[in-house]
Amino acid sequence: MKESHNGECYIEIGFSQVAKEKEVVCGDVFMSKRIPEENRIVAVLSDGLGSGVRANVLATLTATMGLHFTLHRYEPQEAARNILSALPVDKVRKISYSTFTLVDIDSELNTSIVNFDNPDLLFIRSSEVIQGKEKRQVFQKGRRAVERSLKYIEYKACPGDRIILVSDGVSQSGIGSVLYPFGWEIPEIKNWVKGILESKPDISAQELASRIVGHAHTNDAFHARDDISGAVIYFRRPRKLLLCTGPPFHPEDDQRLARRIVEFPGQKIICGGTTAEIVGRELGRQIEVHLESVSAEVPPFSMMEGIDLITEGVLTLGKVASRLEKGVTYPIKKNDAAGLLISYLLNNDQIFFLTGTRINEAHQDPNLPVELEIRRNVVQKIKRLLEERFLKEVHVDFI
Amino acid sequence: MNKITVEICYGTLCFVMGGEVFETLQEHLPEEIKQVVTLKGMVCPGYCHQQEKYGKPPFVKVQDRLICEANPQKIIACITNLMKDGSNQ
Repeated sequence: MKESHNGECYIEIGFSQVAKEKEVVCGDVFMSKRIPEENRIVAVLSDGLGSGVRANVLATLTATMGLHFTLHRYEPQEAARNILSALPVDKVRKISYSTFTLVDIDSELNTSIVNFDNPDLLFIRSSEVIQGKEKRQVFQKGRRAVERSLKYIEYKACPGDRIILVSDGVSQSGIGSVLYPFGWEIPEIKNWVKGILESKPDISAQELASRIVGHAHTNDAFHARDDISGAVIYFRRPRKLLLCTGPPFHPEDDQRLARRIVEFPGQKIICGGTTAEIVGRELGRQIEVHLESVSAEVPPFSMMEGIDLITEGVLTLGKVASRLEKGVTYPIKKNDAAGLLISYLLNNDQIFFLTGTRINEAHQDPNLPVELEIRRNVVQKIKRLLEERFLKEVHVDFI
Repeated sequence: MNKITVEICYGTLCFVMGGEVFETLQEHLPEEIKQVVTLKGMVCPGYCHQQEKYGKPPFVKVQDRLICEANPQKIIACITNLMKDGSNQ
C-alpha cells in the first residue's frame, strides 16, 4: 500500500493479485511512483501476453517503460509505439504484446489516463459510478500498420473519489459459469462495488482491491484461469488516529489527557488498563471487557463509549511491533486485541501517539518476564515501522 | 440459585504472571460449575500495586473473595466451597 500527501487530499493506492493456477509468478504487473517535488503520482497496470514468467517479463518491461515515459511526459502514442516495438516477439503467436493502463495524477488532482486494451476503468464518486471524458485515437505500429486504438480519459478527481483498475483476469472471471456466463463484466463489477461501498463507504483502497480480486478468484471457483489483478486509487481526506498509552507523569494532567481524547478529530485508542481507567474516571464512563477475543498472546480488549478500542498496554504494543516487523498480510487477522490494533493503525494516515511517562512500579520487579519492555521504546519502534514500511505520518508526544 | 461471578483481571502483570490461561477457563470448567458461573473480565483494579496487602498476581475475584496467585484449581476449589456453603443462594 502506498500513500502520499497531496494538499488536503490523500491518495491511497491499494493493489492485490492472484496468479493463474499452477503459475509461480503473476503475468500482471502494477507499479506506482510518487514524485514529491512535483506532488504527482503515476501508476501503471500492465498485463503481459500469456501467463507465467514470460508474461511477467513482458508486463514488467511494459510497466517500467510506461512509468518512465509518463514521468517524462512523453506523448502517450509515442510511448505506446515504443513499448510495443521494444517487446520481444512471441514465437507461437508471432506478436509482441502486452496491455497497459497509465494513470497520471497531478497536484490539483487532474488525472489523465491512457488505456491500451485493458478492461475499462471504473470511476466512483460516493458510491455512484461516473464517467470520465473519453477519446479514442488510432495509431499505427511499425511497418505492418496494425491499427491499435488508445483510449484517453481526462478526469478531475474530487476528495472521496475512487478509480479502479482491473486486468482481464477479473472481467473474464467465472466465464461460462451459471452466474456470469460472459464473465464478470464491467457493469456487474460496478454494481458489486456499489454494494460494497454502500455497506462500507470508507473502505480502504487496499481492502477494496483485495475484495475485488478475492471475488474474481471465487468466480473462477478458486482455480484462477488467468492472472487476476485489481488496483484501487482512493482520493480521500487524511484519516487521523490518536493512540494514548500510559498514565501522565503528574496526576494533575489526567484531566488534560481526557480532554485531548475528547477533542481529537478522528479515531481514538487507549492502550493500557490504568490509562483507560483514568480516562473512564475523568469522563465518567464505564469500561467493558470483551472476553470473546481469544488469544494466548495478548489480554482481551475492552470498550468504552466514545473510544474505538481499549487494549492492555505494553504486551499488546510489543506484539504489534513484532507482527509489524514480520510483515502483515491482507486482510489483517483481527481475532485478538493486537490484530485489531494493527488494523486501526494501518487504516489511518496520520497517527498521533500520546505517551504517558509515569513508571508502573509493579513492573519493575527483575523476576518478571522480559516481554515487559519500556513503553517509550516500544512506541518508538512502532513509529519507525509505520513510517518506513507503511509510509504513515507518525507523531509522538509525551505527557 | 444466583450465579457466581468470577472476575478475571486482565492487567499486564496478571497476564504475564500466568493469567493468560484464564482466556480458556470457560472450556476447562467442569460441567456442573460452568452452569452456575458467570465469567467477566475486569480492568486492572491495582491490586498489584499493594502486593504486601493482597499477595502476588494473577488476581481473580470469585464473588467478593480475592484470590491471589490464582490458577484454575484454586478458582474451581473456591467456587466449589461457595456452592457447598450455599452462600450464593
